[in-house]
Amino acid sequence: MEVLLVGLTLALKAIMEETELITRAVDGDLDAFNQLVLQHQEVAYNVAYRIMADENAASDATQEAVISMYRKLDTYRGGSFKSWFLRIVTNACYDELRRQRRRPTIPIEPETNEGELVESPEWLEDKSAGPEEVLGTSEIEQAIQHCLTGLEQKFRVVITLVDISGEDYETVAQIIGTPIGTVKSRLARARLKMQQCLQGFRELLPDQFRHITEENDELAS
Amino acid sequence: MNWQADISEKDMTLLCEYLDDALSITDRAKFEKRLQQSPGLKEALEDMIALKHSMRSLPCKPVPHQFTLTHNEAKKARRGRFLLPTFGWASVVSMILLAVIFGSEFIFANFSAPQTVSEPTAMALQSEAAPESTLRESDSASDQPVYLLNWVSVGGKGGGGSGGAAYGMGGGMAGTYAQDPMMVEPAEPEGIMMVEPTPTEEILAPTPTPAPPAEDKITVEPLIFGVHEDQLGQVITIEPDENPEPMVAAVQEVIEPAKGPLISTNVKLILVGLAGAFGLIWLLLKFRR
Repeated sequence: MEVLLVGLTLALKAIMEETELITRAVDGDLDAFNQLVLQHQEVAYNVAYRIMADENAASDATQEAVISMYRKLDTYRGGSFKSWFLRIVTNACYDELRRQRRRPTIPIEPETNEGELVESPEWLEDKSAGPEEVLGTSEIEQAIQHCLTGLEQKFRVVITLVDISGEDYETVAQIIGTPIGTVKSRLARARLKMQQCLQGFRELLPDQFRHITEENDELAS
Repeated sequence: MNWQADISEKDMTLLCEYLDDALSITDRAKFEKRLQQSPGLKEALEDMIALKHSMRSLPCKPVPHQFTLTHNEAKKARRGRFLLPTFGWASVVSMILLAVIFGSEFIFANFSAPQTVSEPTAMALQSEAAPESTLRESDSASDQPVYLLNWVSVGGKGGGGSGGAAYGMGGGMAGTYAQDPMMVEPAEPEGIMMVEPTPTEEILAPTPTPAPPAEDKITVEPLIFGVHEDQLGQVITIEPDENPEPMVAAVQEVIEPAKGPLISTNVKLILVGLAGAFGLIWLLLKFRR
């Protein structure tokens, strides 16, 4: 009982502090705004990373969202600040994805004086996933990220917010600006698609997955 | 068991709600009952639990750098925050104004045209609006029988627009149908417009018919609309309109409606230019951000 009371008190204190920070930030206090950013930047960046599947793009989208949030501070009408921030982040991700589709990146390979292509210049090498790093990261994580990237954007956003970020249906509905029913149906379809996709990585999956896929194979044969 | 093919979308949604603890107590109890009866559903639930667990266990990526804003960045971010919506709205307002102008002109041009006046009727109206020269001629021919015509002007008082024109026409037609309208003494009270028989018959019937001889007149009862039978032969009014409208001009107005646009072309061009300029600035600002 005592622990519960302490927890409640702490939660209330945190809410009051956040409210005060928001008030100060709306009044133009940059330090207060930056404190709010520090509180939520990790969640925001991770959501952006799972949607964009690229660290640089996620970083750009998060930075863009922070700037946009600062501009729109006077339009904040209460409610959960985190939800509001995540809404701006997801919109920034949509914009970034749209921009990527409009202007796909074309690698420019440099030529030597004789007009021959330089095979692997230093600046062209892939620094994102070296073999050592791959060994360090979980394979299941890579499989999940692969399947997540293969999902349609609208399904990817919902499953990221619910299953990775841990938001409830109502918050997700607020973030993506759709009715709760849409969130539920999108989540169901996203999970089903993820499940189907992960069957291809059964050797990486937990026992439950492996057991089921083996059963399926037996039935098929 | 291959539950993925068997499970319906509704069941899948219920399963997810059950998993995320989003079902009401009653629905939860019902679903649990179904779970016990359906092994496929139970398998699906186990898979979903495993998936959710795997997703939740994904490591949190550390942020590559702090996303806080410096004073300069904040200043830059706030600098143009009113410009974008201002130009956006200005462009929208200009477009709406243009749409209203073009829309109203289209409506006036297509749905508010005056009633078509047939050529003979128009000519009759014109002849009814006899010019002064005709009147002067009638003075000289005082030995001819005189006819009483009404002096209701086209688009007369109380009528307005084509209704008024019709009323005026009605008056004219009354005299025509009577063939030999009410005859009055030449020295009638001042104010009554007296004209010699106008060639209305000729006008209304394009094929030339011989005018009835003066001796064969008064064979039909005079007919004036709006006058009771017991008032026939009496002087109804002796005052003409104080400011009679020039009937020829009025007839011209009916026949040839005003053709000029409601808003001048210059204004339209300026509006188009403004809408385009505001839109371009808005786009530039948008892309610069």
